[in-house]
Amino acid sequence: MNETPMTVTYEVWGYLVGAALYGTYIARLLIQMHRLERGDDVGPR
Amino acid sequence: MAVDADRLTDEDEAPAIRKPNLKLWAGLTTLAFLALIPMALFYAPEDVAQGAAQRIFYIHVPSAWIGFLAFGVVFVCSIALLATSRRKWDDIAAASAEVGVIFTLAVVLTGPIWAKASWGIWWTWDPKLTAVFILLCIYLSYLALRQYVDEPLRRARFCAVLGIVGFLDIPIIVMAVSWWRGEHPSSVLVKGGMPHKDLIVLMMGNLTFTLLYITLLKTRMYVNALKRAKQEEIAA
Repeated sequence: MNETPMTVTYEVWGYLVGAALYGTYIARLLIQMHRLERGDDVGPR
Repeated sequence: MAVDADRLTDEDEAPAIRKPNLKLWAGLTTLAFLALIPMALFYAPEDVAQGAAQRIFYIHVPSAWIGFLAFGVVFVCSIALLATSRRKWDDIAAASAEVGVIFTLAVVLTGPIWAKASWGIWWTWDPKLTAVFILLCIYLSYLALRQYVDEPLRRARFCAVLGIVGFLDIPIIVMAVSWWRGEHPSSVLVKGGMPHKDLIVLMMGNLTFTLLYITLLKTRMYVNALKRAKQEEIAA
């Protein structure tokens, strides 16, 4: 039996790239917020 | 309150930092995404010419429109800053510019994936793509400028001028295909005539990304306020 290879289609790549970008930014914001609320970090302006 | 011409002024002498209701906004945004993604991937009909790759449209276009909205907020706040020198306008503009850059980066990253599927190439220096690339460069410069000028009023004024000039690129992006043709499809705003189901999903995308914008803007403004308070505490 021939098996169809698993491929990620273009639209799925589009959604994954979008999720990675927004997810990374949100994570960075939340880490900054948490550290500042604890009072232990001042990053660049 | 009298406005001091030599420094940024606050509404009150010592404005309190209020934490926004991030759980509410993040919750609404998450719910909207949980509705949008199945709608975009399964409910919207497959495009006859472009196939499934066209579904990228439902995150690509709202990211672009809400990016424009973010830079529109920078534009309005920059004018208000130049008129009043009030710190709050600079705070909103700074946060909105950063969030707008993230939305525009999403446009520039998701667009080529669609282009590869549809045109067979990742990128071309088409007028609309070039104008979007210039917009991204302008607002990256805006963010860089904020790091290089130390004096708050000078920084706010320089950035306000760049924020106003940069916004002029947005009408060029919207009209680029009508004025110069090129590879990129016409803006749905200009072309019109979208099928009903596609339009519903697109509107859902706009609502979802507007909620995301509000959530990110409020969070960024809160983080910036905490950072400034900490810096002032160290400097005192």
